[in-house]
Amino acid sequence: MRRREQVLFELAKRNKADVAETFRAITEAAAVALDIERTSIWRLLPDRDAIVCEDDFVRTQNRHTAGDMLGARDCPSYFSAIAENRVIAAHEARTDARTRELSTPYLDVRGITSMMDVPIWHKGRLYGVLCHEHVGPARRWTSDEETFAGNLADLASLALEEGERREAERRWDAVVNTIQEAVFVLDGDGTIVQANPLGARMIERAGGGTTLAERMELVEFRDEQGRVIPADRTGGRRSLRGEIVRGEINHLVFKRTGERRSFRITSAPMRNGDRIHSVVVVLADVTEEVAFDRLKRDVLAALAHEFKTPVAIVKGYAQHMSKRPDASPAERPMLDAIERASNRLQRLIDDLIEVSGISLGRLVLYREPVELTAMLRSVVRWAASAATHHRLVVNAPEAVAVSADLPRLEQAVRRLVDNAIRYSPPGNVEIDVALSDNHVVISVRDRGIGIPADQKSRIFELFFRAHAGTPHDIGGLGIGLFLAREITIRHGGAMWFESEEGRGSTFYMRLPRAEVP
Amino acid sequence: MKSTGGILVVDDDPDLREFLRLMLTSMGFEVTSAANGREALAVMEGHDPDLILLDMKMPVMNGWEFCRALEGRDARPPIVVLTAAPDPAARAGEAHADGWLGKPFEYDDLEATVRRFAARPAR
Repeated sequence: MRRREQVLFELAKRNKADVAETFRAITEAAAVALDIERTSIWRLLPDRDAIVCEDDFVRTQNRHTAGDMLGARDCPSYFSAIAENRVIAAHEARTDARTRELSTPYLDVRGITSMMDVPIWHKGRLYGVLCHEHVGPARRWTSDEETFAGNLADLASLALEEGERREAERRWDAVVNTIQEAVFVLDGDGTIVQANPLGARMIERAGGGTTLAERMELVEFRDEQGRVIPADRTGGRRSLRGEIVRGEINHLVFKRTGERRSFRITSAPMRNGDRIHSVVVVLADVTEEVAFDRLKRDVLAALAHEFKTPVAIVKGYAQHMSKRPDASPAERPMLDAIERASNRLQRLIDDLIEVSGISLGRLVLYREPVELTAMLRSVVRWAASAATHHRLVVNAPEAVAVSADLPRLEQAVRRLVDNAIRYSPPGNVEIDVALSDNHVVISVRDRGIGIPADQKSRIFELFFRAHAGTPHDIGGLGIGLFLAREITIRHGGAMWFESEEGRGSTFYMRLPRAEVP
Repeated sequence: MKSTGGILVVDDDPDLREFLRLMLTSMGFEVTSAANGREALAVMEGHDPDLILLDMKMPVMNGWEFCRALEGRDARPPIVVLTAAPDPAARAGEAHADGWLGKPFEYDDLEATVRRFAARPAR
């Protein structure tokens, strides 16, 4: 009795990470403690039509085997018994209703007379069965022995749980250790308590810095615009206050070496109930991408810049010559065409410069109160000079103002009107202004070709053209809507649209209201 | 004795210099020109223009350096910056210039700007 308790204690405290090893320990200890010939652990197959032996310990041979199989078809009563009982104590196994079916396929071959089988449960399902088998004259199992057998089955369940948990941990470690991101776990004070290998290498590179204070000494954090991020505004600290930071670009300066690298940072709080006890921070090195992006935009800006002087010369001479009183009537249209072409070039160049400026975050707005009707009149004048087959209908209340950078806002509205004209047959384009207490919504409606449903989600993407390669493709760079929306967002507004293919589109621009100047 | 008056055009693009010379002459101004800041400083050794039209991106000595070189002088002629930068007003401010023209410019804007600073007829 004391010995059995000792056995249970030894088994309970052993490391159960390796399930097979624990099973072998259980079968061996059970056979010895109960003084029986064999103890085995069987696993029920997923179809529940057979059990297969995971480990069978034979005491007189001091040997473990495995692999035997018993089909449910041969012993249906036994299979239902193990699913319904805590312990099947069959003193006379060959005659017991629950186990007698086992006689021919199993008991006779092994000379088993008494058996005590205990189902093993795992995660609310029957995993298999732990079998204690006695050879020789039949034996009466005592209730203490039944309890002991039950306890052993519980230990087997524990081993399964522990093994599964370790396996999940191992899989997870493999993921965390191989991904190309640095992963950190920070405690409530901002101290790094765990890091994957890449994270550890980063700490090493910084020259230490596991506590927040050390880290701020060794590494300078800068945001996407290059502004220094103070200690309480780092991604980790923000997540400690509950925020989920998704993919923000941080530029890190490792002060010890002067090395600069850019990271995409993602961080999230880890909660225990309501309390945030730590945060997980993931840093992906995007130094190369950021540098390449910057190069692309700088090249774009430089190219556009270099185009301007030649355009100035072409346009200047064309204007000059067409102004000359002695220009011939035959030459005048040619000179006008040169001027129009150079204007078009100029607009393309301006677009590219604007796009590269916006993508670099260099767009600076000079805001003032802008009266809408005057601005819209100017847009209509501009459109009328180009679109002779469309009529622009403006429906706007007087004396409504927004706080805006006038040239940029006008440019954004022009884009919408320009699109409405370009993608609709001759007819009306309606510009409406709707008011709420705090906002103004400008809408531009056309009865044109509309936007195909599967293109809608991408319509504001830079360089995206919904009708590229279709009969409706009328050229362009795919910049207009991107710019219009960016300008609107930078004014604290929003842009969206409704569109039906073949019926037309309406674009909406919402802006915060301002006092009328 | 220094000569005075007229407009000094400073730009590294010879075609643009020639274009401006033609335009400004047709408006009635006398025009001298230089290909960069250093040449312009050399021109100004012997000549005192009413107005300088100044490109910013130039080899040898660019527009900003040229402006800085003039900064210490008692009096300097007004400077109008010619720039292809997206924010010409800011560029002009940085260089402490008196005005700006964004490239490419309209003929009318050129005339209006130049007349604002160099109202005196050519001598």
